[in-house]
Amino acid sequence: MIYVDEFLEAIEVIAKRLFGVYGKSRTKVFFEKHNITIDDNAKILKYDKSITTRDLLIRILNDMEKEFGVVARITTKTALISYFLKKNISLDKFKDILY
Amino acid sequence: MKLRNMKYDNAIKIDKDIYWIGWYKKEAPLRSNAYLIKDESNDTVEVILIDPGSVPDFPVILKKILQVCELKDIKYIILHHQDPDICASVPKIEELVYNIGGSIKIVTHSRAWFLIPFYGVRSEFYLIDFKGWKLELKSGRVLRFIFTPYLHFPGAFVTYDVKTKTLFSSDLFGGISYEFKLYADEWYKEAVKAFHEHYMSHEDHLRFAMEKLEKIYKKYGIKRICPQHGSIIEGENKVYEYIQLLKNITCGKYTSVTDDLKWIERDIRG
Repeated sequence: MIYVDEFLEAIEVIAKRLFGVYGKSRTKVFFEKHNITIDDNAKILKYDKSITTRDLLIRILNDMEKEFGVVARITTKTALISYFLKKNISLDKFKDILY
Repeated sequence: MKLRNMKYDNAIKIDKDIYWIGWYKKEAPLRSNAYLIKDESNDTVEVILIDPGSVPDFPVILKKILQVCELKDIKYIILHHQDPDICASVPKIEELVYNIGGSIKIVTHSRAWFLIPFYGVRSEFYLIDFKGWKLELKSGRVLRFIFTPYLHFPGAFVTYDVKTKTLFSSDLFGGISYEFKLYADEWYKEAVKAFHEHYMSHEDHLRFAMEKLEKIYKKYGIKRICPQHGSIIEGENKVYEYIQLLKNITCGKYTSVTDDLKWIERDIRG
């Protein structure tokens, strides 16, 4: 893990969830497509710094549904809700991400 | 049995007289686990089916039942709630058993008893909430029932086999996973969270149930958890970890983020 802000940490939450639902190899391939390298513990080793981490999170969420289908949408969004609540971060701040 | 050698198209023994007879399909997010207890003593055999599955599952599950027992020995079917993925095949099982002179009792909660007859079930019901939350078999073996309301149905419950310390947990501890493994691996917790966070109503309900299971764990021990979906959680330490996991997750939060509010509010504004 190189640097963590709340969006990068949210991306790791998604990575962990996809590991559990779709397996490591499929998840890693998907993340590589977005220039993000993750290790076997779903930690981010390298990521695309040409866009903001917020935009990176949104890009992953948008593409994820195309790649994995509707189950991925449901299971990762609930993971994000849990993560934000656990961190005492208002969900209002993320309405555009969570809808 | 070594995990890599497991053949999911056959019944798999998970304890001396308990079998996994579930439906397995590659590339499905939610598979149904059915279980069978074959209780033998002296000259008697009593078979208990636990959540025996849907209509499409039926040919596979029937094949696995026949690998383990004779149909005439099926005496009870435990239905942890009334969903079609666990109950819909019951009339088909009844037809086979009754045709050879057998009979079955459906073991469930009175709330589910309102709904299960709509499948066309004809057997007598054994309502656990009117029978002291237990079922005693001819051998003396006791199955205890634990009420887990609103998880995910008002009459939901789980079954604890005192003899083998096995918990048949219905939807609790179930997981969503495209990579099926009969036994939980290191990432199964994420699959469990994926299922519970959006399927269970509220963490208060979950905590209430987990506190009861924790008491049973501490007093009697729970050696394994056999959920209706996902993987078996094997070993007391692992069982404890998963009870703690479900005691502490967040669920039922769809009220916080739901975009149907957009059109409702728009229409109210006019």
